[in-house]
Formats: sequence, C-alpha cells, structure tokens
Amino acid sequence: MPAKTASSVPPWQSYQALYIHVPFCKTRCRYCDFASEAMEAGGPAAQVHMDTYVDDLVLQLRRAAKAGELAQLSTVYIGGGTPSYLGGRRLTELLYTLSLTLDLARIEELTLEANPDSLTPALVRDSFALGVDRYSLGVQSFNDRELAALGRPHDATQARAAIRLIGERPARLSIDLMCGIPEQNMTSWQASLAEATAPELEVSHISVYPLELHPATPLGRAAAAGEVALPDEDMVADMLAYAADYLSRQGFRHYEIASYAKPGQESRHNSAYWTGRPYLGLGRGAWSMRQRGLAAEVGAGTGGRTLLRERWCDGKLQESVVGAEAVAREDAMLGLRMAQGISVAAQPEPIRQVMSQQIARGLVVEEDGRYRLSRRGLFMANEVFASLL
Amino acid sequence: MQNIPVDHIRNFSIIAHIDHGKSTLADRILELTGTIAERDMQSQVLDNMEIERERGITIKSQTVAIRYQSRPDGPGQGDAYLFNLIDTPGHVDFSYEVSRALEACEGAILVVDAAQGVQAQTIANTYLADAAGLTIIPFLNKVDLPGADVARAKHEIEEGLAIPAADALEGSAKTGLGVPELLERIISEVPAPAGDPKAPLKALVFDSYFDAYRGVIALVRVVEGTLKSGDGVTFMAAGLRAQAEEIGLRVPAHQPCEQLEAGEVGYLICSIKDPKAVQVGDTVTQSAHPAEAPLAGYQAVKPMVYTGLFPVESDQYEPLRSALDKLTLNDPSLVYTPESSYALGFGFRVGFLGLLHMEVVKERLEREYQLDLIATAPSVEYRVYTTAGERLELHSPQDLPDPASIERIEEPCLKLKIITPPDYIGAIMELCQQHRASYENIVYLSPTSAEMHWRMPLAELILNFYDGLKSGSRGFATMDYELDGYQESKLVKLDILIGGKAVDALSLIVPAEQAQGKGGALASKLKAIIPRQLFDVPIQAAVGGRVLARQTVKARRKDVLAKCYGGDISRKRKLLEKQKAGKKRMKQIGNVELPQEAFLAVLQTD
Repeated sequence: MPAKTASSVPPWQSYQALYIHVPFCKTRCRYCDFASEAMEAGGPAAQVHMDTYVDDLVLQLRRAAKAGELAQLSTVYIGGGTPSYLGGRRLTELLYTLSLTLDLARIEELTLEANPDSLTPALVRDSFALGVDRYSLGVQSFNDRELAALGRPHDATQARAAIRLIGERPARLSIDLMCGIPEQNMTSWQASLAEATAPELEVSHISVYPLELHPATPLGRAAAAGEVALPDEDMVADMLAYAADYLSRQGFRHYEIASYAKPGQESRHNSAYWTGRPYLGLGRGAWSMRQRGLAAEVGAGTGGRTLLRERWCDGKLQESVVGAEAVAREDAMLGLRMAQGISVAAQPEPIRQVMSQQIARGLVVEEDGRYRLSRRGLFMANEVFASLL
Repeated sequence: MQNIPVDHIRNFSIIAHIDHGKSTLADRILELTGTIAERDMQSQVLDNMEIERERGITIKSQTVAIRYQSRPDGPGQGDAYLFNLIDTPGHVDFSYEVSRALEACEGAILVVDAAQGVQAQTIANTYLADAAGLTIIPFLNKVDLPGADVARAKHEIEEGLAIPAADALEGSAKTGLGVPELLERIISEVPAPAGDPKAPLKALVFDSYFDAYRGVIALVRVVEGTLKSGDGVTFMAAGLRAQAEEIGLRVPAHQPCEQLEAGEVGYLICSIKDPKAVQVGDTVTQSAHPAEAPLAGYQAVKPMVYTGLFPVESDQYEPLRSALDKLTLNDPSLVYTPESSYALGFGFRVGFLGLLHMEVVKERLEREYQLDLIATAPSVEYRVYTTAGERLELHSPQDLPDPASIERIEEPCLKLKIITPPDYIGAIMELCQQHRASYENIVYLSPTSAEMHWRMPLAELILNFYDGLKSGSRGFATMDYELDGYQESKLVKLDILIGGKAVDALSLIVPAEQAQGKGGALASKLKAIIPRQLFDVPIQAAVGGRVLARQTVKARRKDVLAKCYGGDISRKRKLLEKQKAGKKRMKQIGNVELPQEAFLAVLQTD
C-alpha cells in the first residue's frame, strides 16, 4: 500500500503493467542462472508445491484488486520460469482469477510465456478462452543439436507444432531465438531465422539475443573447461548483424535492441519497462516499480520523478529508492534501448554531455531532436549504458 | 642470567636451506629450555611476521637469550648456561645480514632435511659459517619421515661440505627427538666466547629494529671490551655519537642490565630516531676510549633489484609514501625515490636486496597498508659510460640516455651455484645458456647430487630464472648466488608503443640480440591481455624508433546485454556497474584502456 503523503508530494502513479512470475521449469537448461526451480524430479511434492504457489498468487491478486492496484493496468505478462509448465488446471485457476480481479476489456495485451514441450492443445484453447491474446514461445533455435547443447527440454519438431497450435487462434505470437550457442554456425543461424519468418507460421514478433555465459552454470563451467566450442565474439556480432538485416527485409522493425516486430506487433508490456511506466510484480522475487512526480514525457528523462523498486524475497521486503537524477539516467539507459530513442530536449545537461561524447565515439546519433543508438551502438550498447551510470 | 660467567655462554645460530626446519628447531629449543611456555608458543615464535610465517621464511632475525640448566651427567655438569640463539634471515637476498649475524657467534647448528639432503643454501650458509670460523654441529632433521635417507644425507654433508658426519645427531625438530642431546652438544662443542673485557670496546651490530617509542634498537655482540649503560658510544662506520641509554638481554622480552662484557650478546638503545643511521655490520665503540679500528667486514647496504611501485589510484600516492616510510623503520635496506611515469602517474622507484625481498615488501604494502599497487618490471643497476666520458649509474629504463650518446653499458653479474640431481643437468644447461650464463664447472657431491657453477648477468636472474629452474628440474634444483662485479654487454632499450604512444612503464633494457625475440613475445602477450576496445589498438615493440614487432587488438564489435525487462533492471545495472568498475581499474593511455596485468606481462616474458 502506498503510504499517505503530504499534499505537496505528488501521489504514487497507478500501476500500468502487471507481471506474474512463475518460477518453475520442467528441467533446468544448461545455460540458465535464473532462480527457477526444476520440478520434474520433484515427484508429488512438486505438484503440491506448485498448487500452493498458485493459490498464493490468487490470494495476492485478490488483495491487489481490493487495494485498487489493478484498476489502471493496460498489460499483463505471465512469465517465468515456464508458466505453461503449470499445466491447464493451475493456469486456468490463475487466469480465471485474473478475469475476476481486473477488467479484461481494458487490457491491451495479456501474454503467456510457454515452452514448446508443455504447450498442449487444451492449454492453448483454455488460456485463449480466458483472455490470453499473446504467446511468447521459448523456441531458441530450430536446430536439434543446438537445442540439445543448451539442454532445452524440447526439439525443433515440438517447436513447429507449438507454433502451428497457437496459429489456430487469432492470438499474437512472439518467439525467442538465441545466437552464439554451442554447435551453431552462420548457416544454421540463417536457417533458424528463415524458419522463424516462414509466412505460414505467422510469427509477428521475434526476440533475438546472444547467449550469456554465466560461470556458475553447467554450460559456463563446460565452456571454461574448454569442453564446448562456442562461436567467437566476432561471429556472434556477425550473427546479430545478419539478423538485423534479414529481419528488416522480412518486414520486421528492430524496435528495441533485442526485439523485432511486424508493424503494430511490438510488445506493449515490455515497452512499459523501457519507457518508465510503473509496474506491479507478483510472485516470488518479482520486482515492482512505483513512481511519483510530474513527467511531461514519462520515461524521457524529465526531472522531478522519484522511483521506488521493491520486491518480496524470502519473506523480506527489498526496496531501492532511485532519486531524480538517477531516474533521469536510468530513463535514458532504458529509453535508448528502443529505436525511438530519447528526446534531446527532455535531457538534463549532464546526460547531454554524455551523449555528445557517445556521438563522438560513433555510438549515438542525434536526429530530429532525439538521441538514438547508432547501428554500431546497438551492438556496443553496454559502452553507452555504462557511460550513463 | 647476568651472573652466568662468560665461559658458560654459548653464542650460536641455526643455519639451513629453506624448509629444512630451522624455525621449528628454534621453537623446540625455546620450549625445552622453558624460555617460552608451551601455551605461549604460536608455532614458530621466531618467524613473527605474518608473511614470514606463511612463506616459512624468516626475514627479520629475532635473537633470544636462553637459560639452559645442563644435565648433571653431561659436559655442563648441571651448571646453568646462557645460550644466545642468534637467528638469521633465511634467504639468499639477505646473505650479508646472515654473515654479520654469524660473526656474532662461535657455533652454528646446521640443519639438513634427511629426505632432501644438502641443498644450495645449505652450502652457501655453511660457507658463510666457515668464513666466520664457526664450529658447525650437523643436525639431520625429519629422520622420522618416510622419505628420510640418513646415509645419503650424511654422505652429502661429508662430500659437499667437508664436515665429518659419522656421529651427526639425528632427530626431528617437530617432535623434539634428538633436541635434548643437541643442547648438550652445544655445551661440549661450541667454544665459549673469547675476548678481553678490559680492551677498548668493539661491539658488532648484527641486527636492528625500530620501536616507535625508543627509536632504533640495535642487537650487538660485544667482541672486545665492555659496553656499559650510560656510556657515550660511537657507531664507527656511520660516524654517529650517542649515549647508551639502555642495554640488556632479550629473554625474549627486554631485561635491562648494567653492562655487557666481551662475549656477551644483547640489545642497545640510544634514542636514535633515524633507522638508517644504524647499519648492520657497524662497530660500536666507547667514545671516551675508542677502538683503533672497527671490526672488519662492514658493507653499506646496496640494493640489487629495483622496481617502480605505483598506486592504482592516484590518490594513494601519499599513503604509499607513508607506508614505505613506516616499512623502512624496520627494514633500513629498503631505499626509494619518487618516480613519475607518463603511464602510471606518480610512484616510487624502490630498491631491494633481492627478488624475495621485493615480493615481500610489495605484499606487505598491499596487505598491511591496503594499497593496490602496480609494479613495473624489475631492473638492476646499470653503469652507462657516455661518449662525453661520464659514468652514469641508473636503474630505470626511462633514465637511459639517447643511444647515440652511449659509449658502452655494463651490467652486474653473479656467481651462480646450482645443486641438482644429475638427471636435470641437461635442462639446466639449456636454461642457463638461454639466460646468457657462462659455464664454469661442475662438481658431483654424490651420485644423486651435482653442483654446477655459472657466471650470469643479474638481470637474467630477475626475469623468471628461478621459475625456469624449478620447472626444468621438477622442483629439485636449488640455487644460490653472490654478486661478482660488472661486465660490458650490448644492451638496448626496448620500447612498447600502444596505440602509437610509447608506454614508459613497459620499457625494458634487454640484450641487443634478444630485442627481436623479447619484443615479439611481449607484443603477443600484450595482445592477449589487452581487452578489445571500441577501435583497433596497435601494439608495437621498438628499439630506437625501429619497430621490431607489431600486433593489433581488433576493435570490439559486440558488447550488449541481451534482454532487459522489468525484473532485470537492477541486475543489469549491477552488471554494468561491475563492468565500469573493472574499467576504472585500468590505466588510460591515450584512448586505450590498459589493464594492470599488462604491466606484469613484462615480468613473465622470456
């Protein structure tokens, strides 16, 4: 609950996006370092555990609705983990509660994250019926050797079937594709991109991102021990560049560093993160963001906003307050991820100075009153972001 | 203990190769004589610096007066004896200090590991003890260990050291086996000190340390005459006059006394606040009745190895200076002068007695003073004769004048002694030749141990020679060395240019014929170390403007955090902050960010 504030302090703005976290997966992928539980080996206890978790989410949703926190939402995203792994019964319970606690007619986008192996016809039918209008499918690759090297719980055939299954409904579909993975080469990468964009599959959104190796994961350890051959950094750069060129030829717009969409198919929920709109996170470890202050252009670095990030973690509330100056930097950092960039006029002087330096380094361009990452800057974005810290 | 007569005093040291058990034996002696109760023993009392204990070496010696009640049925007939156990630094860097400490003794216990036998420093220390005219009592240590080969070790002692070892003591410093017998042998074999207490005073300073309240505390052995509390005294080499404010015995706490007679060992406090004023090897005499000549053998301390020490953060310059000031108090051999580097900013050129000394000092600065330091490649002191007829002594590549004005350069040389099992002679020959050493001869100590003699430039020793020796002999070979004058060599300054700019802190003085090879190796090594940046970074190795080798670190093409959604923002931010902190630790050379490891690369290139 937002605290009561003196009248001089502007009130907290309403949440505009809701994220529901489902921290369960069938098995753990070899590269994954997220706090997600692998449930397959858990037996009946794991089933009870997931029941309890969903019951608790239902309770949280009802509380949030009573507190009025869900009234102004425009997007909902059920992510993970692997939400589809919850199975039809639990997902139905969750979605049904959602339909009762918020006005689905107002919701512009309700996304369900799914893996090809746990997406059944019944699950698609029921989830669609209960309001899901966008599916985000963890395909990663259409090459079985690559999928096996990543430790994904599915193969390419299952991915194709899942895509077709979603295609039977008038729902939007996004898929994830990964480059820089073991066994991959330019030819197999091109093949995966070609398959993702095959007209009959009607994929309207693709997230393209390079594999991040974390030292504490099985893949990270294997790579450190020299047991797996990974495409080198330059090859990954070539793959990212190829994807950018190829997907734009196929009619996708590179609207964010890692996101490509057919016109109008951009993720509205994720755009909320990049443009500084308040969001509520429910579920274990999910972050919420609240903010107050006046913003002529929210998310464009206008001064005067303060931001509060909070989450419940192991029964404890973690909070971090971000002051106005840091908010401006963070807004710039997130806003620059998007092709639309950030408004020059809205930036305070220190940020303009940083931008001038990045323009001189060829990583940022200034056009039509906005700063945007250059093509090189898209691939070297950390250089720009680090300069804004 | 003051009432023990001089003929019941025994002054002795323990000498050994590293790890053969010197400090453990000292501990056992202190414990068995009740000098330090068992419960107060922090294993190895004599190694009281953290780093010393960790490395199992003694850098600063600690001397202790021990009261020993002899056995009624032994040579001491039940009388009380005063043992002065004079500890010596345990590393070749400090051989001069060792020699002075041995001068204060009449006897030495030679500890030899029964498994390892005679090693290079066993021999070096035995020579020093011989030169000081000491009676040597061999003690075969660790005889209870499975690998012990007593017969072989005895054979090596007889062959290699020419010391009769047939009835050498066999024991274990760890368990105390053989130590009671050793104490009796000290009485029967080590001579009582001689010297005329009525002669003019000559006391040898064999160690000194600094106390914040009392100033310099010198450890002295009275050789002739009597040192009395309150006397006016003169440090003869330093030409320093002072008053003997307090004298006494270290038991090991200070126990003041009225006087120290010829043959006695103790401490002397004169309210001297400058630690460099009192040098090891100096002779103390009575100002009113001075000795005619000082004791022989004094040498001013002269560093052998120099390196630049620079703080990673420029605001750490003053803390570094103050830390060096403090370290000097107890280590007057440390010398330093301010040095500035285009690449590394302000720091110090620091001179050390040797490589180990350098490592220990650097580690103490980092650990005890929490300084983050970059050390440049170590250098020796070169003599440069210019065409104008001057002789320059310099120890930093930066100071080398223009090649056109150099007539010739001389570099310091070593007599090098290596002891190794014969299997590794071939590998060592090759290693030595790579390091410009000239072969002198080889002596077989036993069928399993050979002693090789070489002459080698000191500069070669400080660039990885020891590591090469250890790896070439699977750790079996040991070495010892002493300075042996200068020799003329054809040397050039090898410059490293990064992004077209010469990085002064990476320059090296190298033999002309090695410039190409070293330049190439260094450029390759740097290529591997320097992270890819926004633009291509050329690395060049050059001598006098002529480029010998070139490498390029290609521009980085991808540095992007993949996805970033709501939950990730804090996490991504942390990653970026980490990345930024990593960059901050780098040194900026023009546009190029150079990691600290780049400055270490020169140390590791052969």
